[in-house]
Amino acid sequence: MTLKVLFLLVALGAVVGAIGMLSSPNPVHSALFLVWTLFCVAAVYLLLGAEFLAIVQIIVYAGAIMVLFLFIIMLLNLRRDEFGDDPLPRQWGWGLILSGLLAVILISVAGAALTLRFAGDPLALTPIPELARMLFTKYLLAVEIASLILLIAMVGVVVLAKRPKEGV
Amino acid sequence: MEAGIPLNWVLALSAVLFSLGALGVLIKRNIIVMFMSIELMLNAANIALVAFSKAHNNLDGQVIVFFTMTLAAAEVAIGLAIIVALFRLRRTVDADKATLLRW
Repeated sequence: MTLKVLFLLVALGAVVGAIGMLSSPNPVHSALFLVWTLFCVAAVYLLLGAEFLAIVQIIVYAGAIMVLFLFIIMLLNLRRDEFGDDPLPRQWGWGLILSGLLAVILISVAGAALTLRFAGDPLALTPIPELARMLFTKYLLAVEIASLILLIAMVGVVVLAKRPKEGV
Repeated sequence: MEAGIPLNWVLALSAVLFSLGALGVLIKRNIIVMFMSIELMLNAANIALVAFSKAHNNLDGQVIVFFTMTLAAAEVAIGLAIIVALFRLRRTVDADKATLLRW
């Protein structure tokens, strides 16, 4: 019972953070709201017993990715008139209609999963050694490809962010 | 009556977060905030993956979430570099002012 209440609180926090991200005109505030939402998602992982992913979520998402976002926002140092955020009323209407429709569809799918129950003890923690074994046996090729992608991304970022040479 | 969280609650949270992310991509014009909305949608998908992984007592879902996070890190780095390059070129982060595919 307390688990359910806790989950509802965390879910409410995540949704409020997401709405705050969308409604704040300043991108820095948006980024901070998103950090809050990501923390709530980490809490959801914890409640589901995926403690390793919760830690990785906080380190990688809330730590690295959002700091990168804040870095870029501060690097660009936008003036208020450069935010580019004055959504057209029509855009708001259609956006709300379409995403509301999407929400209805997705939630009805979620409702259809009513018969599915968590197998075993829902609070049982994920066996991390088992996770590691899977990563380096069944998913070894995927790990190698992911490392290659990270390398390519690193090189690509350096190339993209480099100032173009004069006269080229 | 079991003690755990019902699976469809978790899926509903995932659905709501995904829709909010989609709403952000639709209504925002600041490219950086649109990009954050994409991150939100990735997270919503991750929640669903973890929930199903727990429901089936199968670790594959969590491994996939792990890879999603890796790819999200690479994606953010590349995307923000593109935004910086765009800003150097056009002095704006407004998606409506970056409609030309040339300079």
